[in-house]
Amino acid sequence: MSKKAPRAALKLHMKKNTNIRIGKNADLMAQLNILVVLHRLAEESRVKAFEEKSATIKVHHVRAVAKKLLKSTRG
Amino acid sequence: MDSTEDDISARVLLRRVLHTELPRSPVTRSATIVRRSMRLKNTPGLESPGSALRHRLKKKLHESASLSPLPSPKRPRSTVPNTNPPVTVPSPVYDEDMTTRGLLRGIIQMETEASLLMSGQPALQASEPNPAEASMSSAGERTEGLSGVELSDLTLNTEPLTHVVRGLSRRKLQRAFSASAFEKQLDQLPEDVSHVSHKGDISEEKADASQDLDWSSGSKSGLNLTLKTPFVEKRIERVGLQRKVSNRRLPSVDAFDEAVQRCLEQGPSQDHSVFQDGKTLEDSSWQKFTLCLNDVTELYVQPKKDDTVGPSAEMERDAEYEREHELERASEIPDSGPLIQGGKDHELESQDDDEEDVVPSSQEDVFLSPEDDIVLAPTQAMTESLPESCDVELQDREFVEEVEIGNVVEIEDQKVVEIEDDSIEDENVVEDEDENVVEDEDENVVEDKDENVEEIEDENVEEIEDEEVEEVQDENVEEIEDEEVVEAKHRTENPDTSQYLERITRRAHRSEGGGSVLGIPAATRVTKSFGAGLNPREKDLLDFIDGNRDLQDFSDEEREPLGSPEFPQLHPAAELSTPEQRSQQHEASLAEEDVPELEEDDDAPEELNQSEEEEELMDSGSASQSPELPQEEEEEEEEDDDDDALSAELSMKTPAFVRQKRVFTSSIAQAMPTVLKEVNAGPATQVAKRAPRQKRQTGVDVLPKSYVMSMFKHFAKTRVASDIYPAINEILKKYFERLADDLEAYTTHAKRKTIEVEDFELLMRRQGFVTDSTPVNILIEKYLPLEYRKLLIPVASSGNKVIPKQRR
Repeated sequence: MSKKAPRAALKLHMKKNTNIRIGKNADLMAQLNILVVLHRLAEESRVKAFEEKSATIKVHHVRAVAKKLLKSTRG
Repeated sequence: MDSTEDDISARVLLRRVLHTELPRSPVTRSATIVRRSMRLKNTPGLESPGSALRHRLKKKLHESASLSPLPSPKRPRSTVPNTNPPVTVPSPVYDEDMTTRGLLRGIIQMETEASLLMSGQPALQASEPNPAEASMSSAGERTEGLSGVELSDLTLNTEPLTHVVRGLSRRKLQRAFSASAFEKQLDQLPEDVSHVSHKGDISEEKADASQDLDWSSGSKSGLNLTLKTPFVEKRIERVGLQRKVSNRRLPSVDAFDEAVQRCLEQGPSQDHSVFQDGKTLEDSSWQKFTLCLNDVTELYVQPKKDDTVGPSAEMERDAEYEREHELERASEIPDSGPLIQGGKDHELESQDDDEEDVVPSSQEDVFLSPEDDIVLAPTQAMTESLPESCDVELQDREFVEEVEIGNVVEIEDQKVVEIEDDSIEDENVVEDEDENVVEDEDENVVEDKDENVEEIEDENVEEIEDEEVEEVQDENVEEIEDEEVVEAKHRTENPDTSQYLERITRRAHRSEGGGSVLGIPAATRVTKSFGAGLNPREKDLLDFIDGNRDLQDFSDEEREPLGSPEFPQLHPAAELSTPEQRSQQHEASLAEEDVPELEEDDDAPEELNQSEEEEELMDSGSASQSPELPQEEEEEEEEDDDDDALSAELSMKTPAFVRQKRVFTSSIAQAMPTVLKEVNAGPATQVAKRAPRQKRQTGVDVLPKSYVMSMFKHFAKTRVASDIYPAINEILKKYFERLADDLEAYTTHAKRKTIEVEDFELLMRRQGFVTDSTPVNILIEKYLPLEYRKLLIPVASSGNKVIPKQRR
């Protein structure tokens, strides 16, 4: 939360395919978005891990959740 | 019943009286009284019985009016009628004394004067003894009490409060006392509790009860407080201290001895002590890190003390210091100190004279205060040689080297070797010596030193040494540069723990700090694999050396046979190569291992040098570094798991520290790397490690692993497997793509060409993260660090509710 995400990397990602430009602080919003999504991903994975009665989040938990999450956050 | 009726009537009368009297302005007592009496008398028509009562009261009041506002009915309460005059300051109150209101007021006043919390009691008590009057009074009090209170000044209210407060304060005191007393008498606790409960109910016993309460509660609390907290805390403190101390003493004895020796050598500087401590703490890499840090500080101090050598002369100084340490161990500190300084001067001169001067000068350039370093180096060597207490072999070599080479570099190498040897006093010594000899004789003394240093580090792990050699040979120019840096670092590093630690830390840094580090000095670090980081550097240096001077043979085999003649030849090349290498190494290592390495080196100058070199490398080897970066990334990832915590922290901390130092020497070092590169280009060291890294470069760009994992862990709140990162990466990548497309669509729809914040807002809304009830700003404040928040929200500062005037 208190860390700084690399804005340059984010910008890179955003501009990968297209030539569209990024606004001044839009990459911050992108970071916010990423954080929110990551947050949701973590939550869901945690729930899934609980289902399997494991205190640790394993990879398969995350994968199982990812697809559903990606679909939901389509916008 | 009659009383009740009377009471009711009385209350009603009282109220009426109050109402009637309210409009009237307060006048003299007599007049008001008379009037009131008149009124009362005139109002008998309302209710005769009530009026009768009132009359009686009034009469009584009149009687007592002169004395005090408190009416006769309140005699039981009016324990302090005399005090009324002072209390009856407010005229309105006085005037109304005759009336029920006045009575009430008087009562209140009386109450305040009475026992502390007895304020309520008099009212209650008065009511009790005199049902009729009391009822009236009480009723009046209740009804008018409130009104009286309300009407009366706040002072009345405050008085009781103050009294209450005083009482409380007193109670507290009592509690204190009682607590101590009660501690001895635990039996009373239960009794007190009962008392408290009872007393609490009864207002009359408030005073007593309060005290009892205080006592009981105080005792309890006091007991709790006194009994528990102090003892427990003390015990804990003691225990904690004891444990800590014992833990610290665990470090190996050998390291401790070595450290002691070094400290002796470094007598003048107190930092050495810290140095020792760091060295002695071999338990954890962290400790080692601290050592490094300490060393760094020490180093800085030392130069100031001994030679006003700039931080740049880290490398040399480090080596020198190390040598000094060794020397000190052998001989005596003071001797070494002056000798070193003297030697330094000599060396400087000698260096200038020789062709090598160019090289050493370059080296010097690399190091902020090259001359000093150089001088130090020779001095160290000399000093070292003097004591001869250190490994004889080493010393001999040093002498030979010194004589032959006459370069500081050499000396440094030797010193390093010696230092390393001394420190290690074990396997490595022999190995190092051999290596030292060979190396020294070879092209780059520095390189040798580095190698030795590196090797020394490996003392702990002989294998590493071997690896180093191999690595050095294998790696390419890029590595050479890095190696130089690495080696340089190694030299400076404390032979034993520091080196070892450095590697570990470097690895850790690389793995973890790579992301962050990379971001900063993109080119600086050619991430060499962790183990390879240190070793490759050495190898690179070695390779470099070999390549530069066509002394590949030397690096391995012919080192020994090479004599003095080779040294001078090698020196110039070595010097050039070494600084370059060092810088390279530095850069490579710095990026990731800056912190650990630097710390381990315990030499601020080293760091600076390294930083310089790194910077140089960065400038010059930026291209090379870029491919290295992916390698670094790879390494980082690999190493992340190893030393996440340590490396991350270190990298976080030291990089800034180190980088600052690098800035110093960056300018100078730049010249060197170019030359070195050319030279390095010759020897094509192993590129195997780098090749795969370069390929990965583009693929790893999603987001730094450290950042992502930390966020994920934070959000997950439970433990997270470390191998999750790739999966998350994939997910994020896909998400990113989709995100970009959507944003593009939004922007185009808005007929704009730039993705703006508004587009993001729309996106979040569509995603469901933002609804009417959760504005975007909330999310912003929730997730983003303050710096970013400020950017997004014009006037957002840690929850300050300021409405942003303008939204970007």
